[in-house]
Amino acid sequence: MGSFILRRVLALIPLLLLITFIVYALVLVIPGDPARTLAGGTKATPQAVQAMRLRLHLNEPIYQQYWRWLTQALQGNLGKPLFGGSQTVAEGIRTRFPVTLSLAVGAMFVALVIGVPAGIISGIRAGSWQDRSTTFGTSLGIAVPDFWLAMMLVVVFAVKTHLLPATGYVSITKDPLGWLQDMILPCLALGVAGGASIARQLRGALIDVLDQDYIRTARSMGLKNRKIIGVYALKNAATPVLTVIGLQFAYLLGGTFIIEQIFSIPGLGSYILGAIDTKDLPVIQGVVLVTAVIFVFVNLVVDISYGYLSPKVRAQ
Amino acid sequence: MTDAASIAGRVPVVATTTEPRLLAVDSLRVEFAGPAGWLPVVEDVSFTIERGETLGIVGESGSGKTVSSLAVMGLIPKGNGRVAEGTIEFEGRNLLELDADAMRRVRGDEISMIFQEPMTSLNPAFTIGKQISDAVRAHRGVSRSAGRKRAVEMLDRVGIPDADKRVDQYPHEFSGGMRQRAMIAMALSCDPKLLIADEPTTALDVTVQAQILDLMRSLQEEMGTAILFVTHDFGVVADICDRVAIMYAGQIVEQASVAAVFARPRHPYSEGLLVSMPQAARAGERLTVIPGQVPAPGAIPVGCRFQPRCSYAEPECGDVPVELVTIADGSSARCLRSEVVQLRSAAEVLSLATSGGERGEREVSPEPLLAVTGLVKHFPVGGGVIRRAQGSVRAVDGVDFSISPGETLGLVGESGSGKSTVARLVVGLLPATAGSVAINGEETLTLKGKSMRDARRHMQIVFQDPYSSLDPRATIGDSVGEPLEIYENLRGRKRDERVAELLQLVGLGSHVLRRQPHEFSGGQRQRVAVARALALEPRLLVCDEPVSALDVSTQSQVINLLGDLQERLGLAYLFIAHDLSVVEHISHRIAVMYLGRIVEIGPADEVARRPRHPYTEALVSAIPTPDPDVQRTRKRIVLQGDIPSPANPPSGCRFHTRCPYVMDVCRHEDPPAYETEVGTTVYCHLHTSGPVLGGKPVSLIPT
Repeated sequence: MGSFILRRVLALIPLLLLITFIVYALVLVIPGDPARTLAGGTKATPQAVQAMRLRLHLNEPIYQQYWRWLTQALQGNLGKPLFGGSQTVAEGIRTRFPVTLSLAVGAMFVALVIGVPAGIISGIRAGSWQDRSTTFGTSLGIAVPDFWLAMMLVVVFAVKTHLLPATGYVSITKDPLGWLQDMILPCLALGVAGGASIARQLRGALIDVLDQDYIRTARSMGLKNRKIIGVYALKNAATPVLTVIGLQFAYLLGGTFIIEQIFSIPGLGSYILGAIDTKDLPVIQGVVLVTAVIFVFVNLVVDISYGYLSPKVRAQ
Repeated sequence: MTDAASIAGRVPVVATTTEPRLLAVDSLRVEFAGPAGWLPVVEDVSFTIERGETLGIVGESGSGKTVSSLAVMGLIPKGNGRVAEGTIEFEGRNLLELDADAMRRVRGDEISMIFQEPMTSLNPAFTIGKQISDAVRAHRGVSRSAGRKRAVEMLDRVGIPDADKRVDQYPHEFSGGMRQRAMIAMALSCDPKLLIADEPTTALDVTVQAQILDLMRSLQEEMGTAILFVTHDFGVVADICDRVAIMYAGQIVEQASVAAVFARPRHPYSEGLLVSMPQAARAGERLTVIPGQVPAPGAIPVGCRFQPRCSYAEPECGDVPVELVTIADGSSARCLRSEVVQLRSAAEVLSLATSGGERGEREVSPEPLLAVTGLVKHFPVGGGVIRRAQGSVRAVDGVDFSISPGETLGLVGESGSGKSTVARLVVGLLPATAGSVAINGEETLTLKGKSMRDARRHMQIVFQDPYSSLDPRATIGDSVGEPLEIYENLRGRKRDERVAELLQLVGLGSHVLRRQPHEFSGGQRQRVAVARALALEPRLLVCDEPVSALDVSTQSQVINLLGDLQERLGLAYLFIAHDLSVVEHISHRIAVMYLGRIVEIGPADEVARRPRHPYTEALVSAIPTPDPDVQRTRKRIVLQGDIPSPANPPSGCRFHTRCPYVMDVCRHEDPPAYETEVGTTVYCHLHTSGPVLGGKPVSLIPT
C-alpha cells in the first residue's frame, strides 16, 4: 500500500507542473497587449502601461516570466493584487480559503448524509415503494438548481420562520454556534444535488453487487444480512460511488462561488469575482492555482481509496 | 454386473434406524415469476441423501438441477421465486418451516455449498483468510485470531501450499483451481454434514478437475460429509457419485445407483445423454443426437415431458403425465415403457467407438491451405507511460503447423497454453510478434489495407460464447449479412436471399431473418455464428471452443453440423477446444499445446489413444470415462499443481516441473522434434535420451 501511494504521488508532479503552466498562461490569452489591457485599456497613459509591464515582468520572454512566477509560488509568494490594499494574494487566499473549504466540506457532509443511506435503502430493495420514492426524490434533487434551492431555503427558514440567518458569516473560532447557523442553509443548498447523485450511483452499484456470485457465496455460508450488505457488498459498491464523490467535490468548489454570493459569505468566490471584474491577474492566477491543486489533491485521495477498496488496483 | 459398492471401493455409511435421514426432499415444487404468473421450474422432485453418501443430480441447463439445490439451501431468490409445495427434511427438521435466522444458522454450518465459477464466487475485496474466518465466526463465537487459524488449517487441508502466507492473499492472486480449493476450504470450515457442489469442476481444466475430484473424495472419507453433486457430465458422475438422479424439464426422470444407471439406463433420456457424448461415436462419423431442445417452463408437454424428443415414444406417451415408478432393483424411472424397452448400457455405447474408425479418404494436397511457422506472440507486462515493460508473457512461443484443404486440425491444451491466442493470430485479430501465417502460399502477417481484407475472406472465426458474440440489438439477418455488405456490397433483397441460403445451410429456417439473438437458444445462436462465418465462402474456419458453452445434446448437434459442412463445402477447420474427446471425434490431426508451444502433433487417433508425450498422456487420463467400471479401475495420472506462468516459463522442457517421468536432461535442454513412424511429431526427451522410447507410446514405460 505504501509504494502504491508513493507511485500515485510521484505521478502527480508532471501534472501539477502542467497545471501551473496553464494557470500562468492566462497572461497569454489576454487580448492585445497585456500590459495595456491590465493598465486600463486605451485610456491608460504610456507611463502606466510601462509601469505595469515592468511590474509583471511582461517585457521578459514567457518562459522566464513563468519560471519567476513558479519559483515564487512554490515559496508561497503569489504576488500582490494590482489594485487595492496592502494584503498580498497569498494572504488574501489564506483568509478566505477556510471559509470556502468549510462550505465545500459541509456540503459534502450533507451530500453523504443524504446520499449514502438513501442509496443503500433503495439499492437493497430495488423496485419497492421505498426505492421508488427515493428515486423520485433523487431525480428532483438533481433537477433543482442550487441557487434556486438556496433562495427557497432562505424564504422558508429565514424570511418566513426566522429560524436561521439569511446571510452572513462568522468564523468558527469566534462563535461556533453562529458559524453552524450560518452554514446550515448554504451547505444544504449546495449538498442536496450531490447527495442525489451519490444515492443514484450507490443504488446502481449495490444492485449490481448484490447480484454477484460472491454475495451468493456469503449467503450460502450463513453470514448475517447486516454483514453481507454493510461489509461484503458495500466495499465493492463503494468504488463507483467514490468516483462520483471526487467529481462532486470539484462541482462543489465551483458551486460555492455562486452560493457565497447569495449568502454574502466572504470566501474565495467573492475574491475571484471581484478580481475578474478588475482584471486583477495575480489574484485570478492565485485562486485558480489553489483551486486546481485542491482538485488534484482530492482526486489523489480518491485514487488512494480505490487502492484500499480494490486490491487489484493496488497491484497494478 | 458388479454392484455399486465394490466398484466404488467405499460403502456409504448406512443410517441407523433411530437416526433420522440426513436429507429427504419430498414432492418439491419451485416456481418462478413469469410474464403470465408463476411458472413451475421444479415439479414433483423427491430424493434422499444418507450420511456420507454422494448423490449426483444430472441434467442439461434448464432441467431444474441448480434450482433444486438452491431450494435445499433456502436460497431461492425472494420476490421472483418461491417454493410452492413439498418438504425438505434435514435430520428430521423441515427446513421450509424455519424462520430466516434459523435457516441462516443452518447454512454454512450444517449444509454448505460450492459453486461453478471459482473466479467470481469469492469476494474480490477481502482476503481469502478473512472470508473463511468470517464464515467460521458466523457460526462459532470465536475470536478473529481463532478464525484465521481455522482458515490456515482448512487451506492447508485442501492442499494450498504455504497456507499461512496465502491466507492473507486476495482471490485475484489465486489460480482457478486454487480458488476452487479455497471455496471447498470455506464450505467445509464448519464441518457441515452435507455439501452441495453445483458443477464445481465445469469451469476448470480437465487436469485440475481431476485434482479437485480427488480432493473432494479424500475429504469426504476423512470428514464423512455427504455430497449432493450437481453436474451435466456423466464422466464425473461415474467418477465420484454413489447414486444418481437424472433431471429433465424440472422433474427427476430416473433415479438409481450409479452402477445400475450405467449398466442399464431405465429412461430414454439417460441413454440419450450417454449416446450423444463424442466418446460414443466413431471418429469422423455423425454423433447420435437427441433432436430438439429442453422445453421452456410454460411450454411443457402434457404427457411425458421427454416424449417429443424420444426415439422410443409411442402415441400413448403424450396423453397423461407420467409418474416416477419404482423398478425392481431399487431404481425408479418416469417412463411408461421402461419395462418394455431395452436401453443400451454405457459399456455398449462406448464400444460403438472403440474400433477407432475411418475418417474417410481425403485428398492430401501437396500445398497446405494454411501454413504457420515460428509463430510468436509476447505480451509486455508491467511498465506504463514512464517505466519500461518489465518482461513479457510468452503466450505463443514458436508454433508450427499446417492444415490441408478440407482437413481438421484439433488444437488442445489447458487454459493458459496459448491456444486461443493462436486462433486470434491466425485470423489477424492480434498482431503477431514474429513468425509467418500463410494462406494459399500468401503471407498474411505483413499485409495491410485492402490486400489484408481480401486475404481474410479465406479464413473466418467462430467464437466460444454464442451469447456474447452476436450483437444483441442486430437482427439475425443483419449479423449474418454484415460481411456480405462489406465485401460484396450486397444490400436489401439480394442480401436477404443470400442470408436465407446461409441460414438454411446451418439448419435454421429463413424465417428467423428478422429475429434477434435473445429469441434463440445457445445451440441456435452458435448456428447463426457459423452462418455468419460462412457468408464469404471461406476455405478455413477457425473454431475457438465452439461447443464448450453448450449442453451435451446441443453440442453434438453443432459438431454434426460442422462435420456436414466440411463434407459439403470442403472446409478446413482449426478446431480449438479443451475437451479432448470432442477434438478427437472431429479432427483428422491433433496438436497439443503446453505453455505456448506444441508438444505433440500427429494423426488424431495416435495422439488421443497412444500419446507419445507425457503431457498428452496426462490430459487423456484426466478425462473421466462415462463408465464407472472403467473409470474407477483405470490408471490415472493426476498432474500436480497448476500450469506455470507463461511470463516465466521453466527452463529446458517446459513440462518438466509437472512431468511424472522427468529426467535430468529435461531441466536444461529444450527437447528436439522427434518424428515417429506413425506420422507424429513429439517434443520430448523420452524418445531420445534416458531409457529411450524411440517413438513408442508413453504407456509402455513400466511403472
